[in-house]
Amino acid sequence: MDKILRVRMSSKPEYSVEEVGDYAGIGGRALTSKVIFTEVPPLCHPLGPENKLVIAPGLMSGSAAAISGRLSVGCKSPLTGTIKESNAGGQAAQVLARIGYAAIILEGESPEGKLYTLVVKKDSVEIVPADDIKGLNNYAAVEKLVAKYGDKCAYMSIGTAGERKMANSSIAVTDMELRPTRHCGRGGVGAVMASKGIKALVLDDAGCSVRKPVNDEAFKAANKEFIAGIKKHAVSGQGLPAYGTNVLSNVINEAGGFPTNNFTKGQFDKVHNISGETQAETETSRGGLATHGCHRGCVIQCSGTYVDKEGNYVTKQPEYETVWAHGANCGIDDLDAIARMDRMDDDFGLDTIEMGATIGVAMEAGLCEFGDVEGAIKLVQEVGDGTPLGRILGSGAAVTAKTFGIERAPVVKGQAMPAYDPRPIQGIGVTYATTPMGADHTAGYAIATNILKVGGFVDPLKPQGQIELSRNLQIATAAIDSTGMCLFIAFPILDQPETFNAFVDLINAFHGLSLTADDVTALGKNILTWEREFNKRAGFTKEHDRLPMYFKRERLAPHDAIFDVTDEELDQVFNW
Amino acid sequence: MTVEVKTFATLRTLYPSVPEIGISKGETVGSLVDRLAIPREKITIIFINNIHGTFESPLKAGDSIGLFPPIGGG
Repeated sequence: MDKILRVRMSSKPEYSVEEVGDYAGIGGRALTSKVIFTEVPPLCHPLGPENKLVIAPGLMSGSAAAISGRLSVGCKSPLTGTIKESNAGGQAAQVLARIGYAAIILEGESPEGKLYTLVVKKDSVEIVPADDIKGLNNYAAVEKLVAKYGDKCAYMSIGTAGERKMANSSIAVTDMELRPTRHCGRGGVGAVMASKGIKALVLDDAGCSVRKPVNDEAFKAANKEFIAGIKKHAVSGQGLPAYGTNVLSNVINEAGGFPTNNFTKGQFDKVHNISGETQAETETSRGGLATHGCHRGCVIQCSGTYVDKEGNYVTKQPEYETVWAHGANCGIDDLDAIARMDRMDDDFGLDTIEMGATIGVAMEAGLCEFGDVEGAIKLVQEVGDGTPLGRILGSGAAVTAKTFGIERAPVVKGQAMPAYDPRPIQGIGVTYATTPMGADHTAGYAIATNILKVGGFVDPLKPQGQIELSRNLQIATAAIDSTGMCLFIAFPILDQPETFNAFVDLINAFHGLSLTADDVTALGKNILTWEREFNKRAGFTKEHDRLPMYFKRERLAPHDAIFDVTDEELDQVFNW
Repeated sequence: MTVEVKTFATLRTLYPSVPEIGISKGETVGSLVDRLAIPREKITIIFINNIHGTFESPLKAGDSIGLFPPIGGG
C-alpha cells in the first residue's frame, strides 16, 4: 500500500500512479478525510469537477489481521454538503490493499452521459467505456462484470440511483458471493462517482499476495490474542453471530427509543414480528443462513442470507438499521416486505436508512398510510424508475419533507437519523448533532454505553455525561475507521483491556511502529479536526450542530422524553 | 400481585418469557430471577417498565421486566 492511483476524468480520461508521499502511514477514514481536507475546495459543488472521490482500504486491510476488510469512501457529500466518509464491508478493501494501493482518487468530471469501468490489476489500469452496463442496476451490472472479468475479483458499482446523481445514492461493494450487498450507503457517494463518469470498478488481485507484517512473530501473537478477545466477548462472540445486528430491535424498543411512524412514537407494538430473533428463526427454517461474514477474514459473522418461502435467495440478511427504517419507522411488520425493499435498495443503489426515513416522511405527508406495505414498495420503485416523484424521494428525507411541507424531518445537516430516537437516548443525540458527517450512529455509538452497558453505563434519559461519552466515542471511532477494522471490535476492546492492547500491538507489529493508546487518540482527534475544519470552510457553524427543534418540543412516549442536552453543552464536544 | 417477565435473544431459548408470575412483598429483580432459575451472570441488561434497572431494583404489582444477555449491533 505504498502508491496512490489518481484517475483524472475528462473527455480524455487518464491516470497516474504516484508515491503515497504526504499521505504515508494512514489509511481508511484518516486518508480519505485528509485528502478531501487537503485537496478539495470546501465551497465546491459536490457534483462539480473540483470535488474528488477517494476510495481507501484501511491501514490493516489486505493483511492477515482479523476483520480488517472495511473500506472508506470520502468526498464532499451531495446530501449534507459536509465532508463525508462512507464505510462498507465486502471484499474490495482486502483486494485493493493487496494490489498495493493506499487509495484510488477520482478527479475531474466526465462529459454528461459518458460512463466508464475502471479496471485495476497488479500491473495495469484500464479505463474502458461502460456501455455494456450503463443503465443497469447493481445486480445485473455485477453479473455482467463477473461474466467478463471473472469470479476472483471484487467489484464496486453504482445503480441507476447513482447514475441519476440522486443525493441518496450509494456505492455497492460485492461480498464473498459476488453479490452487490455491501454499500457505502451514507451521504450520496454514488452520485459523486457518477459525476466522475465511473460506473464500476473491477479490482483484480491476481498475482498479489497477502500483505506481510514487519514483525511476523509479534503480529501472529497479537492477532491470536485479538481473535480470542473478539470470540470471548459475549456480544461479538455470541450475540452478533447468532442474531445479527437486528438483535437490537427488541432492546431499543424496550428502552422506548425505537423510532416508530416517522419518529412519533418510541415503541412499535409489532416489534416481535421484525425482531432479530424472529428474523433468524425465519432464515434458518427456510434454509437461509443466520450466520455469515460480509468479507473473508471476518471472525464475528454478523450477517446472514435471507431467502423467501420457497428457499430462493432474496437478499443478504437485512441489517438492524434497514429493518427499522423500512419496518417500524414506516409501521411495517412484514419481514418479507422489508427484505424485498432491502433488495431494491441494494439493486438501485440506495442507502437503506435514508430511504426508509424518506418513506416515513412521505407517509406522514399522506403519500400512503403508515403500515402500507405495497404503498412503501411502490415508493421505492418510483426511485428506481426515476420518475419525478422518485427523484424527490431519492434526494432524501430532508428534501422530501420540504417538498411536502412537513416539519418532522428527522435529519441533521440534511442526513436522516438512524434507528435510535435521541430523546430517550440522549448520548446518541449528541453524536447525531455534532458529528461532521450529519446524523450518523456509527460516528460515536453511544448506544453501547447508554443502552447495552458496554464500556460502562450512562443513563440514556438524562443529559449528564453524554457530552464526554460522545466525544470519547467519536475520537475512538475515527481512529478505528482508519484501520479497516470493523467497528464491532469496539464491543470487546471497550470492555477488555487485553483486547485493546492486542489491537494496538497488531498495528504496531504489522507496520513496525510503537504506537501507544495516546497515539491512537491523537489520530482520532486529528481526523475530526480535519473534518470539522473542512466543514467550517464550507460554511458550517456551531448552529448546524443541532437537532431539529421539534426534538426539544415534542415529547416521545413512553418516557415523555425531549432532548434536553443544551446547545452550550453541545458546543463542548470538540473542546478537548 | 403479579409481574410480567420478558426474555430475549439467547436467554429466550433457555428461559422463555413468563406473561404473569406472582411476587411477594420485598421482591427484587434478583430474587425473582433466582426463583426462575436464570443464572444472574447470563443477564447484562435489565429493564423495569422500559427503564434500566439492577438486580437490587424492587418490584411492584404490574411491573414489566425485560431481561437481556450481552448483545450489540449497530
